[in-house]
Amino acid sequence: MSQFEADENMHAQDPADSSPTEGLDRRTVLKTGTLLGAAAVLTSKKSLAQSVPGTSSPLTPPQLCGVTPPVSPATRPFLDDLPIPPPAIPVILNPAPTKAANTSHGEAARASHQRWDEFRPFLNYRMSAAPSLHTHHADLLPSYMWTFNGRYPAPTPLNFYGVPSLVRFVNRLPEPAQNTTFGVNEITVHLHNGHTASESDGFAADFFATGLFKDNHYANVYAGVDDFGGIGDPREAMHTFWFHDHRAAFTANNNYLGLNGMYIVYDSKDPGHELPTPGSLRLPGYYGITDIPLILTDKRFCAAANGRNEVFQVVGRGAPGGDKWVVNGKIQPKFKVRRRKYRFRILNTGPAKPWNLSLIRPNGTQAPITVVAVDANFVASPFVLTDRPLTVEVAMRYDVIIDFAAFPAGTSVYLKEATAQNVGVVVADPALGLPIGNVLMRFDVVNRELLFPPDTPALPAVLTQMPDPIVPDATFQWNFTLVDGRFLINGLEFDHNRVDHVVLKGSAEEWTLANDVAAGNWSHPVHIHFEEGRILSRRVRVSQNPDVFQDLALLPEEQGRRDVYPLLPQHRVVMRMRFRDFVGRYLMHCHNMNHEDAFMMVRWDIVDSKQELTRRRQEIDERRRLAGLPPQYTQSKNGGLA
Amino acid sequence: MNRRELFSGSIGECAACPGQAGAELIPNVALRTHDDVPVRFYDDLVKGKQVIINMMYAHCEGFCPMITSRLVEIHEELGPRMGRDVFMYSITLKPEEDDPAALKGFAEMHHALLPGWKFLTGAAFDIETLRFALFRHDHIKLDLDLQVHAGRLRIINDSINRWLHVAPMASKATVLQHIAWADPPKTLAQRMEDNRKQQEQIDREVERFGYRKVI
Amino acid sequence: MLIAPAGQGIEQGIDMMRARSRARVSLGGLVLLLCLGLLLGRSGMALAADACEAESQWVATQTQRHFMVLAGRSDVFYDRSGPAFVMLIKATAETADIGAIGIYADDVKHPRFGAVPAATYEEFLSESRHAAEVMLRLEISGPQYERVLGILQSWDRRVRETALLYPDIAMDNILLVKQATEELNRCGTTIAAYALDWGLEDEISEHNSARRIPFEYFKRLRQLNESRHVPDAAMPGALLTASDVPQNLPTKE
Repeated sequence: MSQFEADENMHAQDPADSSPTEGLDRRTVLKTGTLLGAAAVLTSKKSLAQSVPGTSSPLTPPQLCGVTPPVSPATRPFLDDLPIPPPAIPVILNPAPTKAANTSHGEAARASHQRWDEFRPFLNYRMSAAPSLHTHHADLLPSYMWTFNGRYPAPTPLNFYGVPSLVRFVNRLPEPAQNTTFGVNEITVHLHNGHTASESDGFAADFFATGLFKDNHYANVYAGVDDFGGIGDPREAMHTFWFHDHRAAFTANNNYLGLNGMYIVYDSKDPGHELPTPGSLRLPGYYGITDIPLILTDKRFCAAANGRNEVFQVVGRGAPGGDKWVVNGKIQPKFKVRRRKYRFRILNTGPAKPWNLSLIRPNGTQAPITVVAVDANFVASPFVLTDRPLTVEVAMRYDVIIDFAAFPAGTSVYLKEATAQNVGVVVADPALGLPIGNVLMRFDVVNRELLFPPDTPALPAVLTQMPDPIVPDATFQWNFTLVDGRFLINGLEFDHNRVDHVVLKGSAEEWTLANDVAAGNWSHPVHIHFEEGRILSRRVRVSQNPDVFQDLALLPEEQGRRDVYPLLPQHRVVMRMRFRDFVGRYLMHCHNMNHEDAFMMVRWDIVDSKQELTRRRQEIDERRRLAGLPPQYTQSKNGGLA
Repeated sequence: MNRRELFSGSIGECAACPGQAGAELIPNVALRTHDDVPVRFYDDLVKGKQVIINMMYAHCEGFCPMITSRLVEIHEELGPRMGRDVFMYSITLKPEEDDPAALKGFAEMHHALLPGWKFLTGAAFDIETLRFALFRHDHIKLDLDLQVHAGRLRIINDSINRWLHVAPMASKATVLQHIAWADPPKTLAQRMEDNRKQQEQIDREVERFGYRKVI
Repeated sequence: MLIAPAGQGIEQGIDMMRARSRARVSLGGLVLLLCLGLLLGRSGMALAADACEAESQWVATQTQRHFMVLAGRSDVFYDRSGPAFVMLIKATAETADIGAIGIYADDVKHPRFGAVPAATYEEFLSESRHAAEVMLRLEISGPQYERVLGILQSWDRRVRETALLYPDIAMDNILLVKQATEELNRCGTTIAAYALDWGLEDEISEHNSARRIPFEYFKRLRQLNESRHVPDAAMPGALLTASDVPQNLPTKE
């Protein structure tokens, strides 16, 4: 069958696709497919028919199961193998990506890509958001989800520092008339925590609806391009990212339905293999073999109906808490590991639940987990958790090394979560003192086969140098308060059309994040887009009138670089960050997605001229003056507003 | 000794319940408008409509008048849509104090007797049901604080099952934008046209300021 | 109000209460609710004053006693939580009105919220020394009983009309136990209280999942009110054991 015939067939299958935009997915992928031969053409066509059902073979929207949260059906543990999201396959995009938005062909309106000519994308990916079915467990029927490229989690783009890429996000989600879910068919995708130009950063109000697409340009550079030249400061390297929908007010819903995935960037230190190349840390590094994503979420399922176990959701409510724990899309999976070191990239995709993870031996004792990266950043030296769990709040990532050579072949070790899930079947404790409900997944240890990659050397004592200490040009404070029933940040309600703070490109600031709401149970993983930060201190208010604070010791995971800062009740976190290389609108928000959707978000902008900075700060203070609020900025010695 | 049971209701998982949508989520409680007209909240006021809901009480000083005057501004902006396809409802937080006459008095005082806008009261049990259904924070302290529930606007378009809220004291443009996010969906052709127009606005702003600032 | 006005004969008072408790929610409950103005500010100092006056004028008798029991068990459901509910008992020589509302385990060991089945609450008619259980039994006055009854009836109505305040029944239960226990101190200190208000000082809510909060709250109240706990020895014997077939009060929609 010639490629041309195949194209005709594909098109004939898809009469409903009236998009004038680049509805040429299948043709383009088939082009790539022919490089691999005719067989591949046939295979790819078939798999696409299953994976792009939004328009060609419409899935029936889910029949949901009422407003009262159900108890999920029973699922027997350790039936499914841990799935590994496949690497995303680069494609040739049609129409080709352009610096300015290609609105006539359906690209969502945006500013032109900054530094496009410097960092022309070399690898292009397409992520098409559409409904698909996903089965979470052998004992469950499929669930209707909204996914990228037909799978949950999405395929993982594997990138390289110095090789810019571009991801085209295409919206093929169903319109409200065909939608019974609580999702909204408008998306804007954020790469967390990419050093990304603002127009490609997934600003919450820059969403686009069905039929349109948006190109996110990822330069894949280290922060500090302007200071260091080239591709920036290698000490700013980050490796484990994730991308997810960020649509204002509906982030929790769309993420719960499945619109997220992991994104990895390699460099010479962390090259994606285990060979002794110059500069390599020799960490376990074969993606899917010894370098394993663990993408975590929680879900609740309805009883079987219409051949499905739909995910429980209620239109108009936020994402519900789940009673099943899901890893890479499966409940209580098992994973065969050889007696050598493995790297696990742990990612909490929310919507709201924090995880407290530990590794448990059959005799019930905790086995060591070595942390090598926090929020995608290598720590200066690996640290080992032996007697406390690893706390992973929403959007945090931890890269950990587990050495399975410490366990005899034929045994299993268990990844434990402190809060039990609802298994629904009575199963004996798999390890001493470990109820089955607390098991997230099982590792089955076997001897390494001859052809399996041999173990990597011992972990180096030093993984990376921290960048130079940040010397702030100014300080700033973000006060989260509750006044007269209004949730305020620095005295004002969240308003994405309004800039709350503006900084100068190339500068650095010290920010205090203050949780001043006088309520318990009010903990927030606060995320700042665009750059990583260093925590200087953490304090908790111990009394009011007068305000007395007590300093808290920083945990090892707080001493390096990170981008998600837990803000507990009455805590103040002081951190420093820089604002380099790009300008535009950026966000800071609580990453508990139900909070994010409600009010806990702030917009801050980067500008690149001192005049613009001064002018904007004056505007901000003028608006505050009119609202009866004190100014945010004071006159500095050299006349500008600091 | 004879034993007599005091209670009978019970709720648990719902195996084969019908699907979602406003009928299940929005209490259909019996209320009275500021004109003392009896209404059913879902059937008469919300079903199939795009609505903006807030909570207040007649003797509230400070933020209720502030929010009400912002709603008056929004009402003006929405012009002919009000009462035709967009409706506003202000529900009292203190039903024992606020009878229809008290609500009418409040509305008059704040120039809020406008087309498509009703002030509502009812039985305390039902108002509480409504309050939690629409403004709940899933946090005990916040949910027992009436002021917290008065601090947001609920925007619902029942015809497309879209629920949003917005801080009423955000900028007028933002409040209107959130209301527009609940508008009925447009055709692809309309979207492409809106997109083209927005691109023009962005280009103008970038040319003027060098950055996107407001658009 | 469903309170026997002072001066009327006790017998007449009981008859009135029995008759009124049969009328239950539709009339009595609404009247109670409007009088109490539950969560919404309890408007009217006059109405509150009425309730407290009735309480201060109430005289305990031997023939009619009222009890409120806070009961809970842990490690029943998958998340280590278990049943947790508020039980009311009004006992005369011949009759006992008993009921409980809260979270209990159904026959497939799933949590349910609402009227606790007799089989479950009967397990808490007498004390146990089990660490996984908690029980605080308080003797209360007639007016207090009626007020707490009104609160529980309101929740019973919410369950029957599917008008729960939270979709998560754990949260509804927290609100229920908070309201029921705080009602006791409306007119003066009856019990040593713990402020379960999700405020800064509320470490029970900070450190426990929603489903475990009522259990931990009951444990704390028991600790704080050990001297007020009514031991089995001080209870009417007939109330300590499961009865034969209990007769339901006629339900009224």
